[in-house]
Amino acid sequence: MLVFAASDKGGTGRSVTSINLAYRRALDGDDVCYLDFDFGSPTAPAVFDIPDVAKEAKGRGLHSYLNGMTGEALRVDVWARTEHQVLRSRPSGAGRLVLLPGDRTGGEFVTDGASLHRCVDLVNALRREFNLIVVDLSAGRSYAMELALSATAQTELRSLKTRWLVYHRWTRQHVMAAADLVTGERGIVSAGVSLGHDKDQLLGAIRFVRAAVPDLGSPQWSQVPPAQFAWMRQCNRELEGIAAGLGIGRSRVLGSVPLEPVLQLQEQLITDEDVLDSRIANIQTWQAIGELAERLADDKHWGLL
Amino acid sequence: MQIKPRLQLFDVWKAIARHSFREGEWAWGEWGGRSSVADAERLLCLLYPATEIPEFRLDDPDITEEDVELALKQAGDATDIPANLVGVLTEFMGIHRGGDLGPTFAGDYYFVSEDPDQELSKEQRETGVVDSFSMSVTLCLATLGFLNVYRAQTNRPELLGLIDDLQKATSERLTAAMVSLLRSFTVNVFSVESHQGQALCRLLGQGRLSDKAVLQQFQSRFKSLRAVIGASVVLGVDVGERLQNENRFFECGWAWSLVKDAPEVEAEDLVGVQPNGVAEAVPYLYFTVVALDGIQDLFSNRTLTLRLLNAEQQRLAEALRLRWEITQQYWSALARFGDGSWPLEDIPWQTGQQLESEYFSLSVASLLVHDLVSRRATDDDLTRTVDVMERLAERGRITSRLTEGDPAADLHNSGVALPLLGSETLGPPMRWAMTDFSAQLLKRTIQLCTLSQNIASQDRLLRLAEQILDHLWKRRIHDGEGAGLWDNIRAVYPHVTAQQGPLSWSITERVTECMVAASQLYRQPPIGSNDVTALARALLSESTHLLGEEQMELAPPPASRQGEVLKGVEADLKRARRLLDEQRPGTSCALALGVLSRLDSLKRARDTGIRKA
Repeated sequence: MLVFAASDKGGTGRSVTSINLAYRRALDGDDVCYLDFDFGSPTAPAVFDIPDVAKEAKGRGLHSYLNGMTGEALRVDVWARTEHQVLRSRPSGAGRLVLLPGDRTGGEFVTDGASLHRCVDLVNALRREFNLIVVDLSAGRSYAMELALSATAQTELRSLKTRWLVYHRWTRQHVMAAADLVTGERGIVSAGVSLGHDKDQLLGAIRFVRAAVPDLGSPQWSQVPPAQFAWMRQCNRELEGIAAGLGIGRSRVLGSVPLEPVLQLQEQLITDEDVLDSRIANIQTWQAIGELAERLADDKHWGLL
Repeated sequence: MQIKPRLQLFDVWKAIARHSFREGEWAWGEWGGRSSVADAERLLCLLYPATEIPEFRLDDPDITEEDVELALKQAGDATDIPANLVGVLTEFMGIHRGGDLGPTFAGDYYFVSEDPDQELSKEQRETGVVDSFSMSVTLCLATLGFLNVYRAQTNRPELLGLIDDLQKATSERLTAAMVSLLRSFTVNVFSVESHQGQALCRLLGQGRLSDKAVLQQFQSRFKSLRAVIGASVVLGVDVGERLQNENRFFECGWAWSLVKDAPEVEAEDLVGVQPNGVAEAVPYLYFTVVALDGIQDLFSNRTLTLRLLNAEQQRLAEALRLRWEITQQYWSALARFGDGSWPLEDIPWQTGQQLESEYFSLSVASLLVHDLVSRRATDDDLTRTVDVMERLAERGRITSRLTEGDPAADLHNSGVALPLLGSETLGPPMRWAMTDFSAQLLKRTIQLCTLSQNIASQDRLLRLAEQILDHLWKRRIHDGEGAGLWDNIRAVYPHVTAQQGPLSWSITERVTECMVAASQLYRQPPIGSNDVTALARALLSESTHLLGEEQMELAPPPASRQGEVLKGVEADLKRARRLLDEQRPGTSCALALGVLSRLDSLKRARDTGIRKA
């Protein structure tokens, strides 16, 4: 399965959450590879805690590969290379977890026929080795997004199950931006259709992830003064109405990730130790990401509404 | 207990979901799928609140409220619930349909044989009943509205196909139900000397007037109604010449089923056949109330704004509306007949068939409430009706204790039995039992409460409603199948031998209706008292003045607590003024009082300072 992670604006926790998703699927036994297409600001090495990768990827990363500057993109085995204490020992039963880092030195990025072919070849090679390929696209409408849409429109990749996750924060501006990214002018759907995608099929393969949502039922918010709480619920309800009106209501949401200090302050993987041992992360976040990971592969949550 | 529509409805919904959904799939159960009345009632328990209360809507998964989703967890998540409902409704429309013969309205196990040793024939059990016609109108309208919105939420071709089929079946059922309602409306004409005429003379004369005087007053009181019926009521009923004889009494309303020899109604999109009627042309109070309840949904705001009716149905609805108007005017006038005490106040009411029960008084009161609601009653009429309601609750042993061998127990337990005249032509005579006295009483009480603009009456009604709900809430089944639903009579009357039978969807449905009515009650603005308004105005004037005085003093520094207090005071005063305009004088007073005490604490402190200096 091929999963693209997109967002209209930065700061939605797209990369961090996607990496957490990849990690959880790997824990569950999937062989997972993670492709960092966020060429502007590669964050994956930091989140996986593999500091040397940035240097190593110079001239050998995804960017260079797509531009034809190297024949093979660098692969990094996360379990073996990470300095994260918990990740260093690969749990039994866990699948492979491989990072294909981006690099900044690949020069101007162009989506010509050649890079498209290289992209298709890469995905074709990876799908034989991995169950899940997660591709992190940069924020907004980007070359990477266009590349992703054209590559998946090719006959070679038609048979590959493809899904899109669109991340947005739970605010009015972000909701509107996310809706625009998908259904607006030059959005994913219209761009996809002009590249040969079927509209309904593409729409059925897009789901939203709400990030940094204050979960009003959680203990975190139980101390809020009553008036403020009533106000927050009302705002939440209004926002739900706006989202529904823009066609990104709850039935198109794959999951919500609560407002979580660990994601906000440290941008790191949430491990079970963070929840159970040091207790810096909330159990709700752990569960939310687990649920998201499960639904990602569950056909019930995908397809036409 | 306090009426909390939202929470109490969730309790009912949870119980229904637990009872009717097995692992996310609807299960009709042993008694389901037989009586179209029971099945419609059961579905309406879910669909009626979902279409009448905006917060309870189920047709748009994107904005289904969390607690709604939680209450129906057994039926799936917000996306599954409407899809599940479409499935169940489709099954309902299929079960209660005789193939090409069109929709059917069988009463089935709701009919009881007069003689327990004789079984009802299949034909009898399959006879349509007004309860089912009326419930179908409500259910079909709710379904059509639900589908209208839900259709726009989905693009799945298979689901769209299902929705279109269901929409068609629902519309057909609606037309059939409306035609059946037209064909079961009847006008009964009888002479003064007949049994029925004598009964009416006793009822209206109340022992004070001679038969002749009663007839005279009747003639003048009902002259115009008689003329309207004679001239305009044509569709589906044959009134004939009899009505024109002014020396005869008449009554109008709904028989228990299609009336014998009722003419067929021509309707273009009517599928199937129009069965022959069996019921004698005698209106029943109970079925009249039931019919009016359903018919009024045909011209509710919701039906109009969502355009749920097609042209043909609008024509039928017009004809039904006329009957609806006439019937409630007739019974409302009869209930309040004469100058002194009302016939309605003489509890229990006696019907033309010499039956008497508190239930009939309640039915007449319900008809009166219908009339009061549609023409905005006077305070006096309303207050007298409140008295009647209170007395009915008392006599029905809802607000008082049940004594040993009290006949009131039967009112709730076995119910009031109505012999269904005409049913004997198909087999053993049938009867119909009504056990929903308390629920009906609660419904009418809440309706009156919504209507009342008088604080004292409203308070009495609200307290009465709370007492009835207390009684009803206790009567829920404690455990086993159907826990949380109705009816467990022994919970309130422990020494009564309870009737065995399936759970009562009619009481459950009436209770959800009550909750819907209560939610409408709370949506209205509260009644503002004139006294409190005057008080609020005086308080506001004083506090505005004192604030002005305070602002003449040395202004507090920008970031001080005192400055915040003054800003708070200003905001409160502004809000208090607005509330006064919005008919909320009590809250306005409370704010003004707070302002006064805060201003005073500043003033007091300053005065102390002056004395010291």
